[in-house]
Amino acid sequence: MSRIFERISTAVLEGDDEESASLVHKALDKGETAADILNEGLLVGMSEVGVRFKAGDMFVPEVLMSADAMQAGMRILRPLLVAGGVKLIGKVMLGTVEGDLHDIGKNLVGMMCEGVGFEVIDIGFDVSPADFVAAVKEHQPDIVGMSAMLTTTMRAMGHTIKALTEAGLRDKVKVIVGGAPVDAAFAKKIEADGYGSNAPAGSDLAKELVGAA
Amino acid sequence: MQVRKTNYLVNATPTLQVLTEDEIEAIYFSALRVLSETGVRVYEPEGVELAYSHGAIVENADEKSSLVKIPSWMVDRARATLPHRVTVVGPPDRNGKRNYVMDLFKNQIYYGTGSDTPFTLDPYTGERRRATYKDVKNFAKLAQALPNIDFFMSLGITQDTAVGTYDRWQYLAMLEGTNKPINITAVDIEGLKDQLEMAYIRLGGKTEWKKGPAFSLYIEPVSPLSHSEEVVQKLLFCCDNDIPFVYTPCPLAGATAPCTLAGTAVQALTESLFGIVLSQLRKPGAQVIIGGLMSNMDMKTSVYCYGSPEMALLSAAYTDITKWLGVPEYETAGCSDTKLFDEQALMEATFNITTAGLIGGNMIHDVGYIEQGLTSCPEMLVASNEIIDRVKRILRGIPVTDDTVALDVMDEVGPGGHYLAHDHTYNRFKTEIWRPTLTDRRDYNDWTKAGSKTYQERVHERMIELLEADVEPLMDEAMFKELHRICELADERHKDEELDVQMFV
Amino acid sequence: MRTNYVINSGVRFSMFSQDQLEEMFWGVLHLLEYTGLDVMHDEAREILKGAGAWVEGKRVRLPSYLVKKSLQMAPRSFTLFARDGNPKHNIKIGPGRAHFGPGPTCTHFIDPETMERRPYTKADVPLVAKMVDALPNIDFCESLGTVGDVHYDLGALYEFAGMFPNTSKPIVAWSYDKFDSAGIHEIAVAEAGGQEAFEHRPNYVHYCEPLSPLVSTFEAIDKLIFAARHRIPLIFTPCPIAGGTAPITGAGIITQGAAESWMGLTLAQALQPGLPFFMGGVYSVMDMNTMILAYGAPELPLFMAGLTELAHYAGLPLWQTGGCTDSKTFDGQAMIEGSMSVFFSALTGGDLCHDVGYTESAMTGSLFQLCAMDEAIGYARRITRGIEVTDETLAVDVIKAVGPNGHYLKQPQTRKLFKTEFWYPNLIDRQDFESWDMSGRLTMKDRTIARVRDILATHRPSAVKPETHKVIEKVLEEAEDRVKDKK
Repeated sequence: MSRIFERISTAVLEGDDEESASLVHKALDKGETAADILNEGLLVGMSEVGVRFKAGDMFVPEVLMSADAMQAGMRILRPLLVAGGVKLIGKVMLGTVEGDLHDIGKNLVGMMCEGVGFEVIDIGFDVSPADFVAAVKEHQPDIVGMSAMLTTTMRAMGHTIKALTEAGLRDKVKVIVGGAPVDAAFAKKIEADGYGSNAPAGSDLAKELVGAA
Repeated sequence: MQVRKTNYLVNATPTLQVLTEDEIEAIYFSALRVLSETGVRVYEPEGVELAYSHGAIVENADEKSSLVKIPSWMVDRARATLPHRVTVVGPPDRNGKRNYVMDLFKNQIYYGTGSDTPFTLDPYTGERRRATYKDVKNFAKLAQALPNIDFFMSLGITQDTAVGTYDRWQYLAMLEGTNKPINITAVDIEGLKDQLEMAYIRLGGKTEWKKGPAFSLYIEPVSPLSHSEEVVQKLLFCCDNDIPFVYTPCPLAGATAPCTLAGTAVQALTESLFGIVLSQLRKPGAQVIIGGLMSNMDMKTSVYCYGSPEMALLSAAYTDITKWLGVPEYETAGCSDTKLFDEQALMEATFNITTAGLIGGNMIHDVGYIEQGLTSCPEMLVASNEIIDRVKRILRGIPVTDDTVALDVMDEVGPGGHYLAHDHTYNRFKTEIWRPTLTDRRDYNDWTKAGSKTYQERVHERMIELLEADVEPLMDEAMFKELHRICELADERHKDEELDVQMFV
Repeated sequence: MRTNYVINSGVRFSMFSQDQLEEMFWGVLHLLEYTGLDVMHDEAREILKGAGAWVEGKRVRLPSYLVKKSLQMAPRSFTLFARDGNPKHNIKIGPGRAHFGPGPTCTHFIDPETMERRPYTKADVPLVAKMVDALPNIDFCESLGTVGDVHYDLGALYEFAGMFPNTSKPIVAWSYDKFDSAGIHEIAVAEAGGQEAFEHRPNYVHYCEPLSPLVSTFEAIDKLIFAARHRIPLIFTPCPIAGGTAPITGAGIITQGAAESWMGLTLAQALQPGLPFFMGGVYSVMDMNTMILAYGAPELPLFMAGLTELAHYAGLPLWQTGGCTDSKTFDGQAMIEGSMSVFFSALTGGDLCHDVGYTESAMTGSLFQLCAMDEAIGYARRITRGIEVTDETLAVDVIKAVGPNGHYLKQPQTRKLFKTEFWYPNLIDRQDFESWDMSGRLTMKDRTIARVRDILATHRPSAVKPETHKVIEKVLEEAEDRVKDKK
């Protein structure tokens, strides 16, 4: 592995977004391909972040700084990757369901997903089933993530999945759910594709569902 | 001759203070700055209009919400009519007597449970599963039997009933088990109306309610600085119908509130002050309790800590603030982040129960919570009852009088003597020395002979004993049927909203 | 900027009003002046008489001016030093500072490997010292046991010889008699580099225990005299039982116990003006059903909190008690009782809090209890640290920057402060249910056992000087020689 990749992954690990952006530029100037910079630099750093976080050696704010550093690099690389026809890991669309204003969990999942390389579309909180359907049509995500904080609003997850089915969109996206009162059994009942018990589990699940795990 | 001492100040109980008056003021005036300069987002037009018509600045309206900025003089005006004392009185026993009064004002302490956990630990198997109607009724029965539990919250969402009308069923389950004061939750205004009607029936009329409301309502604005449609509607309804309510954000330091504990207090106070202002505009004298659960995000696991020292400390600091403001406090204790009833549960509960008692937080809720408030645990409730009892022994303090200093007794006993047979001992040993119920003080051999049971095992046995005890029903069959009917009617009205699948059971 | 601004450094806890403290204080002096104590030591009575005490047979009464003078001579603030010069292991005694450590003399021990309760042995001493050395919230060392497998006169000496090389945190040493005391002192002085060096930087504290009610026993006084003459910081601490060996009332037991300590204080200051002196001890109730001295009763933290305030009012540091339990096993009761007493110790700032790690009403020492209480002390210390209220922490500008519905996870302030503003536990588990489920469903007991064994297997305390090792061997040989004919 070239030394520049090592420095990029270190910048990601240390959560230094300015450094990671400038190193990505530098690597491009040296003639490295965008795909190599992503896979051997940025993602290597983020995967180490994941390992350390799970071991309890890194803290949430540090992980988010790393995710920012990763994003800073990705912003430069994304147009090049798209132009080069490289398949990106995917697009995740997130929202808190109708009737629910609690969105810190959803925000965390979004930041974690960005950290592992997803493009993340955040459609906010208190999102009705119809608005979910419209947003899926507009953004065409690979994955739709729904969050609910209350047992009453959990119902809206079922309603939203039903709305997606009725709109003929259900088989075009994977649906994942999460939130304090949600569990795997409930996810199965409403025929979601998966459940994450916390933010890192959510981003792991998203990776798994797009075949990138 | 015994002379009564003059110019002599007595600490009748131990005292605890987290913040000085200057620090409280610093937090309060910061909250006023946030309320007037940053403002809060309000999703209910009637609430926005109410604030606007009395002097608030309304900006940045979108289709759902407006940014409302409250000038400080509006807070001053609201505080002038804000009650310093709020009472909730449980429903009557079979003889028509309402025995349980929660009289909330400065330094009064009442411990009670928490509500609406999706999960519970099964009392027999210990297995974690969805809470049901029966669980809520069981918890109410335990709370009724435990002398240090003064008010009740459901300790589980009834999830074997319809989801959209769970609140009526839950209230019914609670009324079946206890006639202590209750803090309810409501799905929406309609759910609140139904429960109020149920309470009128249970009390025997609206006049009884006016004498002493039988429940308060839990209302939770969302941090940071966001007041939803449903929250504001509930607040307005409570004002109109003389229902005391708890207006309690759950700010999470580092995530939905500043990382500093002082900053979290500032934000929480801003959120509560908005509720106070709105309520006093709607009805001067509306009964508000503020609080409540404020804690930190554990930055290793990203969970909302219910057992952290920061939770106990922030709640205590907030109690200092509410004492200064003159509004009853919704404190938090008896809860833990553990996943089962283990040593951690009891360590965390000991710290937060002790802190809440020392600081004098008024309505101390969440006794019986584990797993960051997602699961209720019957053993935790029973054990906390004994921990509270210990704390109350300490809160009785150390009286200093000629009689207790006992110089004459010591002189009489003298060096090398003993006090076992002395009247000074005999007259007091039953009251002076705390008597445990679950705690074991036998020597090693006796304890081993009795089966070497751990504390958790003894608590479990006691819990089952309480659960299986025969008790008289708290209301007659006819009243139960009447209440049941309200729940059924609600189900009927809302059946279309339910999912096709059985969500939980 | 805002002026006339008074803040709390840490939380503010109080048991008594100033008026109550004044009354208790004079109650103690009154008891010493009118009732007095029996002092079972001829030389001590002579010394006290010379200092101004009224002696009548064994009974010694102290005029109040003499006690007040002695209180004035004793320091409120001083330092106990780590033997290796590690400033992190020093203990600075002074207002508002609570420190914690184990207690001595349990007959039994929970075997760290088998978890069985068995007699305490010589081999257990280094394990306790190592744990103390490693645990972040344990500040001083005692052994948690009476060594049962050596000559019965030499237990205390073997204890010190086992602790001293295995922790550099200051040690509190008890002894049977002044011969032990001399041996212990020789070891400590060797490491310090001579008597004078020791006096400048004392690395251990001497502990003696008078008898309740109101008796200064020969052994306690004999050891006190030794310590005072060698300028060894001193703990003089009775163990009164409310309703048994002391009045049943809180104010009564505190008054009596303080009088017992202040007799020792007066003697110590007469011999060695300015000697650092801790009053203290273990003040609790007798359980009226089982007749045990309850180490987990709520009265213990209550009485101890009251005693601490009286000590501080009188200008003395306190030997506090906490982290102990009547439970026979590592369970919830042990956590409730231990947590509550360390919490009150921390709240009162009781200067050295001992008996952390006691179980079974002081009959059995447990490293597991000690390790769990390390966590409880960390918890208590986060609470007593209080809330800092400054323009920065009030965070009005941060709240404005985030605004309604935003979040703070990426705020520079969060990034700067999240490690120091929040406490991070070692044994408490905060995972969500699924993660906990997948990681093996461990209880706090499981995690405590693992942490104890991990520390014992990996922790390496700093070494004593090579010559100190030789002194230890010599002292033990001489002691064995002294007792070899004694049955």
